[in-house]
Amino acid sequence: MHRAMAPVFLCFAGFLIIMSTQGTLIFSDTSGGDQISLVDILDHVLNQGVILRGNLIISLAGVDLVYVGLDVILTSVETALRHIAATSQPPRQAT
Amino acid sequence: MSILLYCVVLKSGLRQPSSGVAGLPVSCSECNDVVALFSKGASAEAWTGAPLRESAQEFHRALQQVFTGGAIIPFRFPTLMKDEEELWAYLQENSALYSSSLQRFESSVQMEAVISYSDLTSGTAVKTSGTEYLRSRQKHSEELHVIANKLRDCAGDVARDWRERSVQNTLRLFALLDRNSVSEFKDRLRGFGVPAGLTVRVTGPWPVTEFLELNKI
Repeated sequence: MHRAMAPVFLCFAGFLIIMSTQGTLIFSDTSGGDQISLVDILDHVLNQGVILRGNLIISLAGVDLVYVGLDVILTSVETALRHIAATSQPPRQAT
Repeated sequence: MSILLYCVVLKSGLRQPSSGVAGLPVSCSECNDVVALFSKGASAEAWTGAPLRESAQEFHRALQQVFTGGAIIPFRFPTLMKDEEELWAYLQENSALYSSSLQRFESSVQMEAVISYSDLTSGTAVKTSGTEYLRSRQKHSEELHVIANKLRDCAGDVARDWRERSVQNTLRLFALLDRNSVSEFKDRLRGFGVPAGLTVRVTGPWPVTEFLELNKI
């Protein structure tokens, strides 16, 4: 015999989680830094919004070494920009 | 010297953030009725010295402060320009498009619902052949779209428009709604019966990035 069960409401780390005998429904908002997962923030700031297409030049000691498309460097931007910061040429993303 | 761009906002709805990435002050560049927000740094090291996730969180917090005041069009992090002159020239060229988009979505926000399998292995179990694998992928995709349609029905007319994107065994749904309808949207979805084995994660409100025609900007 099957009996319907009421859903269980949990509040964990700022998330409202509704669990039932079936699937799970999770709500989170963006009002506070602690209430939204880092994954969501990174996804939105890195993948959502205007992208100014262009090329980026990585130079060392005044020699242009690598030309990369902007889309390509987004996943490793930290490393790329550190390389650039070490040189006198500021990084650019321009149309 | 380079500048880090945050977002573009209508001058009338501007709420300036208290500080930006790496604690740098946030400045404005105006062109017609739009304002671009940016931070000046002595070098790119100013915003890349910290781990990327910290800088991204600071960037997000700055955007959220502006977003509470009205619609914004964010730049992806990190978008850098050489100096204010380059930004000014860019704004002069694009301010009309930014202005029309911001006015169109002035009172709108975007909510996101991510529909995925609770068991990560559900959609990626080893199959005996490529054909079987593709059939499995197709079946999962169809299942997710059925759930997405039910979720749209559940939200009803609170959402004015929808977009969706498939990523492997996950379906991302984006709803366009009025800024004042966020609570009602969540209330309606709380009654949504998620099928066994699936998880629906609802986040937002976000800027309406999925509904912008960014290719025209």
